[in-house]
Amino acid sequence: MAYLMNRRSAILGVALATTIAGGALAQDMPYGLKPGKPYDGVTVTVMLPNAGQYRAQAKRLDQLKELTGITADYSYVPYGQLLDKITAEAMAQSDTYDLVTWQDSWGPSLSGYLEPLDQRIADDKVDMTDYPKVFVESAKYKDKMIGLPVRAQAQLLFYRKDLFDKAGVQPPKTMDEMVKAAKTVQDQSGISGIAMDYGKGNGFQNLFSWMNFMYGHKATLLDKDGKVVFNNEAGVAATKDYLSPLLDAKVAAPGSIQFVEGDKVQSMAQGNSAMVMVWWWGYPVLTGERSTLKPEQVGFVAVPGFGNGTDSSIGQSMPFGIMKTSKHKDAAWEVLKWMANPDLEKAIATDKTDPDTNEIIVVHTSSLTDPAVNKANHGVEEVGYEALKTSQVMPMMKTWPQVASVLEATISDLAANGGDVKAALDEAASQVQRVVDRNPE
Amino acid sequence: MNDTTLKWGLLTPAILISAVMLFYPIGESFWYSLHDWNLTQSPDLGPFIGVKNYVRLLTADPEFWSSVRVSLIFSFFSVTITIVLSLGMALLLQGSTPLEVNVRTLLVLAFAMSPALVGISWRFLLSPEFGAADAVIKWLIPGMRDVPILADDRTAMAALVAVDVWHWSPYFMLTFVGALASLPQETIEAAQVDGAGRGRIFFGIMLPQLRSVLTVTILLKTIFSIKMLEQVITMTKGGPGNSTSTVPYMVYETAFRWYDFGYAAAMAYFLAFVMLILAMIYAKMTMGDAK
Amino acid sequence: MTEQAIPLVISAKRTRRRRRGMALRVVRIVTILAMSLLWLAPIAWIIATAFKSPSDVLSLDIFFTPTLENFRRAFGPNYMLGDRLWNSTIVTLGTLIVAIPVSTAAAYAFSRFRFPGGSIWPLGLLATQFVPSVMVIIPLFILFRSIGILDTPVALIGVNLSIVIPYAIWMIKGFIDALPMDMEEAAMTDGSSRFRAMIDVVVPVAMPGIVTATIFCFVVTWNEFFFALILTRDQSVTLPVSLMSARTDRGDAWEIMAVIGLTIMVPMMLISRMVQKHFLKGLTTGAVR
Repeated sequence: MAYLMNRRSAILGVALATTIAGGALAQDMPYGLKPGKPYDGVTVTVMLPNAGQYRAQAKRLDQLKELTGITADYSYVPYGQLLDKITAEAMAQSDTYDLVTWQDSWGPSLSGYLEPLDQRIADDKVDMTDYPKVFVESAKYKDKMIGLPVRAQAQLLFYRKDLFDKAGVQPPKTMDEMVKAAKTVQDQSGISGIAMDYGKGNGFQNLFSWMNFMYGHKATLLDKDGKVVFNNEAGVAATKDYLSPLLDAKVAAPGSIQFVEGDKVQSMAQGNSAMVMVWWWGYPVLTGERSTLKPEQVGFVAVPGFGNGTDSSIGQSMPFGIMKTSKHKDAAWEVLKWMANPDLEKAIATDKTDPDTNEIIVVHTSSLTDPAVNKANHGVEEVGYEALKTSQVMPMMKTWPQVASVLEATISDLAANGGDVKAALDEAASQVQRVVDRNPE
Repeated sequence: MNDTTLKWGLLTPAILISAVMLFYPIGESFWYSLHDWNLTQSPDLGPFIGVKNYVRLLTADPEFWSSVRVSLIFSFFSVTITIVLSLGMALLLQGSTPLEVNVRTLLVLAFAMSPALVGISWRFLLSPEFGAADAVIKWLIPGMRDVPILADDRTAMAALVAVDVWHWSPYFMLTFVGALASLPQETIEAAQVDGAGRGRIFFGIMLPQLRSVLTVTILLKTIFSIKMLEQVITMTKGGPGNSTSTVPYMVYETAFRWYDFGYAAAMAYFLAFVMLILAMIYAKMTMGDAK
Repeated sequence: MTEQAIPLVISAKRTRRRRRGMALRVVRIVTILAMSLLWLAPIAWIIATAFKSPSDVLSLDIFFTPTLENFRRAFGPNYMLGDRLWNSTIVTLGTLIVAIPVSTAAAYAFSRFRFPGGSIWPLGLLATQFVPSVMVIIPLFILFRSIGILDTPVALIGVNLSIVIPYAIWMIKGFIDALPMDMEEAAMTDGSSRFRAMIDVVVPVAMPGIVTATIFCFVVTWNEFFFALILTRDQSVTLPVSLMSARTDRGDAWEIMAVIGLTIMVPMMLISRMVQKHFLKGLTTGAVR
């Protein structure tokens, strides 16, 4: 830790020195930035959703300007429209945006429009070992880096500490324990055991939980030869387990069938459910101004496994990459290195002065384990990091949007109407096989 | 200025605007529909494949046919209920007492809401734990208590139809109030003097005279229903399963989610073509008789 | 006895009929009130949400402490509601200023001059509306990009014209069809040109129809969502599109959506009385028939 702190202050000192000197050797610049401000006066336009983390970055853009002379123009696009926008821009061969961000699983379908980054990463010695492996994977397609993770998420299981204490239940370590705990707490407190999101919409969010169960059962969507296999034994078992809180154990909040991610978090925040399994952004929501809960009521642990040595959780990131059509690719790369640097995220995650830019998210291993970061954020990062060590990314395939549409519909239909899991998955598998065959990777 | 000059002079601006903003894109996307153009492969128009997209549509795409079914069910119910209900509302509110005028004024608000706002608002109102409308419905109909309205096949479709009816009825109600007021009062009064009941007056005298208004309103509402996209995007996203995935939503997903532009264009054309034929048959039938 | 009985029977019948009339009237008023509730309560709930603090938004209580904080946030730098309002205003006014004269002129031409095929042309124009919007938008997006007007009000005015002109022509044509030819002919025998006769005689009489079409176009343009969603990014985002900005990866900020929704509804509230009056007046002159 001390080493890190030293290095950090050394880097900042050097940065300051170089700006004063107006140029120095490459290794003297922090974060692999190019010395001598070769892109002084260039404006780089960034397309990104409006999130606290980015607003906090925007406040610090003068640092970037000081280091590189580049002006970054943050152009906010509502989260729900991000993909429509990138699609439209790519289609029109537009050079309006230099840097864009996307939900990792969309990367493959956008990869044709994104600049490969491996050479740049190697040239500027960007340290990819300082990320949990899952985040690096999330910014890759076919072993090529197409982005750098800047915003990323780990899955946690949030639970009502007070209710668990009252019922004398320990936070669950396996999925079976989770369902049992849900039942006990539900019977004792009268509120639903767990809020799930079986609903359709909002960018395939219901598949996140489903994939938790799939990975836990070692089930995958495709085998090595590109054949669809999610309807095999493991897949059916995982899907049954996934549906069990709702259909068998009856511990899921009744609204779960209709919920999307935001709704299930609100269900717990409003005191209607005792647990929720969601990304770590859930923490500030569960303890924030819209919640009826106090921070001491909200506990969190890594997502439970299946007791078979497999940790089931998934990890996700929103990488930033350079558009192939950009006219300022080199300048954009400078901006990207700055946006993805660990000092920036640490500074943001520990700054609690402005509620508008209050953010818990960090993506580097060094930041995830940083005591100051954890102290400022109730230790969410540490627990998240534990989960991330063994997490896997969502499937990375070119046809993901279409495949995911089939899957999310199948899942939401199974939850809403019951029916034979195997038959439904078979039907979905034949649909997905058609999609995959039409557009081989 | 002779008449021919005037005729074309008056039409030119409309023709120019329509040419650029309507005929060009409609023609252009028909051209797309004859190509294999997947955006993930190329930003430029892909190879020409003739009618292959249409063949695939007709022979190898059960999801498309399911969306056609969804669109037809939605349109049938939303058109029928909207027209019947708004006519009923017009009969109730056709007078000019302050109550009637004020209620009419207030009802206009629902029509004036943006379709996107309507969809978002109702998703909020119907959400299972914190939706006000959801709570009221479950209080009124205890049998619905365990039904998540937007997550059950039947109720999700019913909700989509109901919200669409809610949105459009006030507009058509106003149209019908206007039309009712324009009916010649003499025949109605004469019938009243003869002792005809309300039902007979409505079905025997008023309805036949409303025929041309009905024709136009049904045509308009059919267009609106077939094209309805915003509420699906903002309310159900086509779910649960694909039970509320209409053709325009399918086209939207195919183009902007799956990047398969050529195929999306073919779907759009197929729908537009079928609708056009239905509309022409319908127009021929009703308008031919009216004259 | 019998002489007295007859008036009694009649009066009993009358009372019964009057009672039935009364009952009917009560049923009618109750129906009207129930209907109003069905339409107004949801809108009222949304409006109330705009004034709720975030912690009250998801509660089903009817009573809450109103706050203007949401408005402050909505007009603040994250949502820029003021800019969005301005964009919507520009786009709507721009569309109406072009669409109404253009449609009126075309409607007159379609109504008064002979065309091979008769009314197939305006009907055909209306039929273009069967093509799903998604298909129209892709070529237009590419076109607008190549001439550099993406994300400008001009692009939005352009696409809005493509939606409203077919309907407006159709509506106004209906009104002009219903006007007798004699009026213009009288003016023309007085020495006016046909164009003058149209401007001076036909347009004023068809005004209720034109106003009806204007209102329709206003509502459609003001509320247009899908085209604006695709064609704007930053500078010219309109109100309905800005609804989406309250939808984040952490779920929905309903109170902000409610504020934006209320802003969308305000002009409608202001003109709704006019709307209902004009529809009535316009249609009674014989329009849609």
